[in-house]
Amino acid sequence: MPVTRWIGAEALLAGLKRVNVFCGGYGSGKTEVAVNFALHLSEEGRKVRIADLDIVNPYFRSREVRAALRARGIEVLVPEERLVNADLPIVSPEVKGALESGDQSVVLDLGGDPAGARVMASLSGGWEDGDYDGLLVVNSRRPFTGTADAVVKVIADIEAASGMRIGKLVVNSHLIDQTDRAVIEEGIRLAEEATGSSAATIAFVAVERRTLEDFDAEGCGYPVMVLDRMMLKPWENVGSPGSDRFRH
Amino acid sequence: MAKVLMKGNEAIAEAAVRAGGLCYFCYPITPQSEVAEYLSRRMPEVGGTFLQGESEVAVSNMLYGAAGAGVRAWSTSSSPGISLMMEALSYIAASELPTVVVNIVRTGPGLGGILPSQGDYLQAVKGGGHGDYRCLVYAPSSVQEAVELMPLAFDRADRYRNPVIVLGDGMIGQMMEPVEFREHEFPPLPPKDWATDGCKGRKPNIVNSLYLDPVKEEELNQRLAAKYERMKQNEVMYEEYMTDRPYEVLLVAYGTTARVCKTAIKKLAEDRIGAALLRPITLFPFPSARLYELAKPVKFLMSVEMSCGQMVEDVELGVRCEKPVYFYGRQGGLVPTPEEVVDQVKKRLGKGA
Repeated sequence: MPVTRWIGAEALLAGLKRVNVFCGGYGSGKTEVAVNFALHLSEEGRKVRIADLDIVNPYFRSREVRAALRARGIEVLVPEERLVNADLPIVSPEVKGALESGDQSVVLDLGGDPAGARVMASLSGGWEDGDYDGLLVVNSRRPFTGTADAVVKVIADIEAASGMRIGKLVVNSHLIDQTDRAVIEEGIRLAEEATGSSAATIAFVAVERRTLEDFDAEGCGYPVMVLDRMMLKPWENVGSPGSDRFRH
Repeated sequence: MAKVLMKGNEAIAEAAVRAGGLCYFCYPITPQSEVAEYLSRRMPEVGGTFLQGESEVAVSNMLYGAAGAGVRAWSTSSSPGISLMMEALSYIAASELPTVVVNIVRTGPGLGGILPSQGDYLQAVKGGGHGDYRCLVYAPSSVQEAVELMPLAFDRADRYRNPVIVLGDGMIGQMMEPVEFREHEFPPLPPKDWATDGCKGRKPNIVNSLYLDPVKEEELNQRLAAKYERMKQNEVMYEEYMTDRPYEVLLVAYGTTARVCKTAIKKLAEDRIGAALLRPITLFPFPSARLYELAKPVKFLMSVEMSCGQMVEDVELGVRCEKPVYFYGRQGGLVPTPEEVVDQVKKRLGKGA
């Protein structure tokens, strides 16, 4: 039996843009969502490139799982190997090329808050009009995105810093291993309230596989992306393909 | 309050604000700059002071001045920045002033790198700066524990009139975990009648660490030594893991490596190997007496660290040469994996890996 990766997402997948830019402050789970999204597209047979544009966070970036992603056929654009652990705002020149060539799905993992999103200002426009989606990953359990007003403000700030439109929200309300149905439902309500007072819509809800049995994915009214955690802490990743940055 | 998801650095910042640490000086350095980022936004909301100094040398002397004036002043930095603060910390200890300094340790020596390390253990627990002094040192192993230890650090700094260090590696500062903030209550503190906070109607207070009279200097040294002895009697904190069932190996680890060891101990149990963990929460004072007791049934002890072997010296002292003490560590920002710890234990037991 194939592993379930999407629930109720046929229309979403059929209408995907070529470039998907995931942004969100630390703790939103943006990297986890972007990495899973890239893996899921790759599993469907699409050619996928993912670029780590996180210039804000020093740890827990998508570059840490580059080996696992490459092993599954995904092209990973990260700073050159000797600079992977520098706390410098490095953007690989290949990213611009990837955005401009039209044959592959591109997933961008954009760092942090408005400060991190500024890197997009030099890259946005590298695509045909309407060829991308800007997605804000929202976690209702984070201090600065806990209310609809705060989410709307983050959207406006990131749009101003990046020159890119944030048209969609990804609901990723979570407490890592303490997430339950109530936390996800609270996140959906928050996103509904935020989309009610902005032009954004809800793209999908991310739900960790472990939480699926507790959550009515078919009945929630939105496409669901099933998430398998990749960004693991050193004591969590026994026998899993998780973060390889801290092991050698 | 509902649980929220916070980065260790942010949680440390919020916990300090709630503990009344409203005077914060800093100079940014990875991997702890989020503390400053958070407080630059938070301090204005609570009427506190956020001040970025021109260097860690300036910051630590601001701590000296503000602590002398009797306010709860604190700072955060990472290894190279902490080294720059050592002179002022020695002065603060000599002047018997309270302050809290959080060190989110990165790799070293020198400028090192931004990845996590436990290479500052000896600097933190054996003094660090010049002269005969110690700091009380707390080592959180989770974001929640960091939140619990911050108010305790402020209270103990005031109570002992001594610098307190909170030692977390880069992982503790950077990782996200669910946290809850709760109220902490401590017995009333003595009045700060030594503070240089205006002397209208009383004799001036003087903050000083210069002693030209050898007798007076010796009195200070002995008063400080007595203070550190009281810490050893009253402040030792530790966690035991799996010590309530038979074990033949005792692992000793703090902070991030303690979490790795817990996973390793569960894996060892699957192979019917009984291992337990002593996790010091205070690194100074070190839980030597408990270590000695817990070591009685074991074949050997193993200190697991992200260093080339620093805490292992305190483990050896604590067990008084009565049992073999081994060391396993990784450096450079690499974290020991549970599998590596399991292999090391099996190798020392002669069970092969």
